[in-house]
Amino acid sequence: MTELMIGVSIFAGLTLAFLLSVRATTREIDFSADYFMSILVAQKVGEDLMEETTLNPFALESSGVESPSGITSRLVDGGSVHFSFLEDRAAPWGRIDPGVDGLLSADVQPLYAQVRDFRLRTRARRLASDQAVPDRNLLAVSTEVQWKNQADGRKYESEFQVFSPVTGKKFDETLDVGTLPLTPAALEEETARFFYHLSAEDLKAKIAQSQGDEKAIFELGKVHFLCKGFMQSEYYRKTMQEITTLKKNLASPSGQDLYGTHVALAARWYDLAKTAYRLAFYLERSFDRLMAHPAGLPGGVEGIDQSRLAQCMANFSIIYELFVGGLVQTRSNYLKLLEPGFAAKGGKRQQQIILRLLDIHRILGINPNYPQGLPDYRVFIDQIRTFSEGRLPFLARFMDDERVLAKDPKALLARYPNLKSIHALLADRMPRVLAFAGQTATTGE
Amino acid sequence: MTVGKGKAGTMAAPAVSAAGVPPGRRAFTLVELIVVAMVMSMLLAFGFRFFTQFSHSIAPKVSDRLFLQMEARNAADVLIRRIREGSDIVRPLLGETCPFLLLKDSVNHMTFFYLEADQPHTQAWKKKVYRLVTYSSDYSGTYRPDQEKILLDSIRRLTFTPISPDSVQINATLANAKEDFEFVANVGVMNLGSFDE
Repeated sequence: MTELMIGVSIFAGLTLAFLLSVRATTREIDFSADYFMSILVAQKVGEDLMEETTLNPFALESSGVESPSGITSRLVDGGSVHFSFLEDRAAPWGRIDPGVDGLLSADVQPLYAQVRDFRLRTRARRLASDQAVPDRNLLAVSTEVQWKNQADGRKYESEFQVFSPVTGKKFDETLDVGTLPLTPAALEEETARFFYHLSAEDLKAKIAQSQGDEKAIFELGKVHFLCKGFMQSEYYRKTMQEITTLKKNLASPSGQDLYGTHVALAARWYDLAKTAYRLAFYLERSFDRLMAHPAGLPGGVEGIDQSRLAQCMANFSIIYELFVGGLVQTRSNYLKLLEPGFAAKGGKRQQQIILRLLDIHRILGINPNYPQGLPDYRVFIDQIRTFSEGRLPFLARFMDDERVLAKDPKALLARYPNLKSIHALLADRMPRVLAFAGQTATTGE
Repeated sequence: MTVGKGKAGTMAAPAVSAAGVPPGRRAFTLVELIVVAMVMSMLLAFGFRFFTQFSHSIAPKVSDRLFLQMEARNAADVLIRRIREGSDIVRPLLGETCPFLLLKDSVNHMTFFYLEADQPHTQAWKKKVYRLVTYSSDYSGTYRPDQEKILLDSIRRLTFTPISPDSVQINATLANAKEDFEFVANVGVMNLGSFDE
C-alpha cells in the first residue's frame, strides 16, 4: 500500500509539473499575442501623433496629451481618436463617420476582441519650458499600452521625440531691405537739395538757426531715398513686369499651365509683400523723430518743399499698402489652387497650400488696416473644416483648434510669437505712422 | 544496502546492524522493491503516453499562434517598408477605403498593391484567403513580369484608407488554418517638400 501511495504521489507530482508548464506556456503565448498587439498599437498611435504635430504644433497641447498625466483611453467603442477612423464601411462613401463606420466596434473582428481590454495612455512634454530655448520645439512623447494583466504590471511603453516648432522664428526684419544708394554725406546733400533746394551746408546752418532737429530731417531723407530706391529698383520693376505677364497668361488660358501660373503669381506677390513689410518695418523707426514735430514741419524747420514731402509720405504709404495688397493677392491666387479643378494635383499640395493660406489669413486677421481679415479667416476655417470632415481627421481637429483662436485674436497672438511681433508693428505702431504720413501728404497737397 | 532484518539470537543483539540500521526499523525487502518498480514503470508508461498525447494536441495550436503572430509582424514590416518608398497616394482617395493601393514615387513610377486569390491556402484551410501582390510600372507602358512580386500571403482581409495626404491606414487580417489575427497601422509616405515652383 505504501508503495502504491509513493508511486501515485510521484505520478501526481509529475502531472502537476507538466500541467503547470503547459499553463505557463499558454499564458506566455497569450502574453506574447497581447504584447505583440500592443507594439502595433503603439506604433500606429506614434505615427498618428507625429502626423498630428506636423500639421499643428499645438495639437497635443489642445488635446490634453501634453500634460503631466496625459490621456488614458480605451481603444474600442470610440474611446480613442486613434481608432475612430478605421475604415469607410458605410454610405455616404468617401466620408468616415467616427461614430459609425470609423468606430472600432464589436463587429470589427478579430481586432475588437484582440484589443478590447487594452488601455492606451499618451503623454507628452516639451524638453524646455522657456520660449527662448530651441529645445522647446521638441516634444518627448510616450505611449503606454496596458492590457488585461495589468495587475502583473504588464505593459508596453515606447518613447520618441517629435519636432514641433512653437518658438518664434528668428529672422532679421530689416534684412535685405536694400541698401541706401548713397553715402552718409551724399544722403545729407541729396536730402537738402531734394526737400529744401539748398546745399547740405546751408541746410545745416538753417537748422542750427531755427534750433531744429537735424537728425529728424536726415531720417526723412532716409525714408525718401529708400522708398524711391525700392520703387525704382530692378527687383520691383522685374517683379511687377512678371506679374503683368502672368496675369495676361491667365486671361488667355489656352495652352497655359493655369496651376503653375497661379503658383508663380502667388510666389511673386508673396515675395513682394514680404519685402515691403521689411522695408516698412525698417523705416517705421525713422518716424519717431519726425513725429515729434507738426506734420508739415519736419525737424521743426520751415521751408521744406511740401509737394516733395507729400510725395515721400505717399511713397511710404504705397509700400505699406504693397505689403497688405501683396498678401491679399497671394491669398487670392492660393485660393484658386484649392478649386476642385486642381484636385488632381494631389492632397499633399493642397494641404501645404492650406497651411500657407492659414498663415496669410492670420496676418491679415490681426491687421487693423484690413478689417475684413478676421471674418475672412473665420470663413476659411469653416470651409476647410467642412472639406476635411470625415476625410482628414488630423486637419479637422486642427481647424477645430484654429476656430477657437479665430474667435479670440489675443489667444492667437499668444500662440504664435511671430504673429505677435507683426501685430506690434501693424496694430500698435503703424497706425499712428500712417496717420502722420497721411496728414503730412494732405498738408503738402 | 541493508536487505535483511535484525533478528534476536543466542548472541547478544548488536546495538545497530552491521549496515547501521537501528533496531526496530525495517528496510525494504527485495520483493517490495520489485513491486514498487513494477508499479512505477506501469505508471510512468501510462503517464508518458498521456503526456505525449496531450503535448501533441497542444503543440500545433501553440506553434500556429506563434507563427501567425510572427507572420503578422513580418507583414506589418514588409508593408510599411514598401509603402514608405512612395511619395503620393493616388488611390484610394482621402477618406475612402479600398482593398488596393496605388502609390506614386519620387520619379513618378506607379506601384499598385492588390489582392489575388491564394488558392492553395484557401483549399487547405477551407476559408477564402488572398495574397498581396505589388506591381511597379515604369515608363515603357508594357507589362513587365519581373515587376510583379508577391509580397505576402495568407491574407484574410486587407484594406487601405488614407486619412491624410501623407499617410495611409492599413487594416490587415492574416489567417492560418485555425484563427485570424488583425492589426492596424498608419504608414507615412515619403515627404518630398514644398509645392512651390
